[in-house]
Amino acid sequence: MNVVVTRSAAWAPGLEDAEAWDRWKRAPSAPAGDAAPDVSFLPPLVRRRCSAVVRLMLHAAHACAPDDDVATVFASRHGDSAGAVEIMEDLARDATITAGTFSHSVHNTAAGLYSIVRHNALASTSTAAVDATFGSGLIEALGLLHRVSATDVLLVVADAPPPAIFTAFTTEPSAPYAVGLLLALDGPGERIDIAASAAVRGTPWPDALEFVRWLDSTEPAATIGRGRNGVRCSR
Amino acid sequence: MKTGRATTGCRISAVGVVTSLGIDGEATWRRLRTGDTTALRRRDDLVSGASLLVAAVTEPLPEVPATLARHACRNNALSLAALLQIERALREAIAGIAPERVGVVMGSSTAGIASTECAVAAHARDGTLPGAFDYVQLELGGVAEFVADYVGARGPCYTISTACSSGAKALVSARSLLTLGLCDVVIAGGTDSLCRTTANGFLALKALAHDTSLPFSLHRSGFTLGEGSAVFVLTRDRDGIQLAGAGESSDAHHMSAPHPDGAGAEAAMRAALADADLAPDGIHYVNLHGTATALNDVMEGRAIHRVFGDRVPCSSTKPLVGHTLGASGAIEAAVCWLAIDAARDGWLPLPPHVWDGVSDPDIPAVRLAGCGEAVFAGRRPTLLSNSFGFGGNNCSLILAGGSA
Repeated sequence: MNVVVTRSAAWAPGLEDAEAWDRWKRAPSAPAGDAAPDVSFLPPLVRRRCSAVVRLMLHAAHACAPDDDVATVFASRHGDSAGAVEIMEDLARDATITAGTFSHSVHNTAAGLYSIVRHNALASTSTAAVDATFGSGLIEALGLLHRVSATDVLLVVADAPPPAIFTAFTTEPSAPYAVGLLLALDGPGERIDIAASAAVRGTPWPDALEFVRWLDSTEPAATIGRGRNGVRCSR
Repeated sequence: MKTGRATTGCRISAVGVVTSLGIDGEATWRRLRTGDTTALRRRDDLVSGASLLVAAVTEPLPEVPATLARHACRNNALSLAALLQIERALREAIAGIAPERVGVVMGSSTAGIASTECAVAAHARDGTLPGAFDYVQLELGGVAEFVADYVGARGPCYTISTACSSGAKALVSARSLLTLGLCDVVIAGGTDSLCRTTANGFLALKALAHDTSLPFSLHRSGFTLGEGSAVFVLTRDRDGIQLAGAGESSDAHHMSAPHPDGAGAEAAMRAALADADLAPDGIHYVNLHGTATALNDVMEGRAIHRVFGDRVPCSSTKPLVGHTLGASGAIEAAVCWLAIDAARDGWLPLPPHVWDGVSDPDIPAVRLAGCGEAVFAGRRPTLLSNSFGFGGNNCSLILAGGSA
């Protein structure tokens, strides 16, 4: 399937500007640190309610800065699992939870807030696929592009490490990260071909960062992602 | 938004459905038709110090196989109960097809929150998580992974989580996997299970009914929380019951309150009609989102009235099976599928709208289906189902019987 990447943006601790990105892509490694991205463009009332992953997602969406309304896909493995655990801890000690906390705890919180802040009434989907989440977002974005062929699709993939209580099960990702990709069926930008590809090994850094690294490189093709949602990208 | 027309068919060849009315489609359909509300039960373990009327699945559920023990939680047992109903059709559908061409898309909002709540409470008490717990139970992606592992599917596999539209949108995404040519068969649906997080959350939002849920009534006070699962087998075939259209939109209004005029709901319904290449009078029945909250029913009534007037029979099945949140879009699509399957000689039997019959003057006139009612739908019964979620996430599906 052909798709045009109109814009891309990547953020992680230590990957905060173009210079840092240039250094990283020459010797990529798993990001480390717990810095948070800038979301000063958000209205204070919205910002106040944002979990770490929602901040990451809205930062990446903003960095891609679509000019027009776009359909959106937000993909995240863990979502706000830290917030979910906080709610459960409150419930375990019979504390009440507030309507605002609950309504902002859904997996599509970033999608909802993006549509509200941007007055963007187009279709929006939020996905998760364990360690194969990047591919789930990309595949869903391709489907959505064909469903809404008249508009572009903004794909945002972001995650923060899961809360400490779950580190025995997974420590992926090693640090927060966020990637935004503005995709179109046609027009100016980097035209690539994407095909399903099983049995992918994956990189020590997030698949979404690997995708942007490959986009930014001269490598003709790459196999990205893992598990059932691996993809073969070529140009 | 106009959704791109499918150039191929999208046949829904089998449905497994688990609701409070029964752990098979036959029981669910029979009790829906008679407006049976006797499955509702009070539970006092969901909200501290209060007993809550819920639509819980009370029949014993199958055990998650030992080889998939990390997925052993109630949410996946509900999915498994639905899968077992269609085991034969499913195996036939995937026979001779490469596992890489079999996809899975599930909708869920809770995943295994219930089992995680117990684990987190145990951790707070003992400082360790119970041995049987695995984080994948809480992961939304785990809902689809369990289905794929059980089925042996190795194609694209993911969970859609857009709150209460998740299950409907999973079917739309499944159709895309077929039309894009990424899969030849997709197992899709939705599963959600009762848990303290959603019970307390919707209580805080004042969205839960004080007593019986009465959608579109002057006396409505919210919904009854439910749980369940519906799973489907989707292929590119052009015959049989079809997913004939879908429309998606966002309200761009508020995280937990719908747009008061129902602009997003209307956009989703009109997009679904355009996608199916149908005029409003081509629809024989609408399954309402119908949550019986003050805001939903006014906005949905307005949107329905603008699109369909007061001609098309509508009902909310939530008073009977509860609001199953992330599964509701899939379960209500299953209700539409079962209605088409039960149609005889052109007559389409409808699930009734069970309420107190007291209209709200703020809701424009909508034709609500009565108990035992059937409408003449001819050779191609065509039904629309609405699902609207938090974040203003809207999805309308159109299911149609026979071939076009």
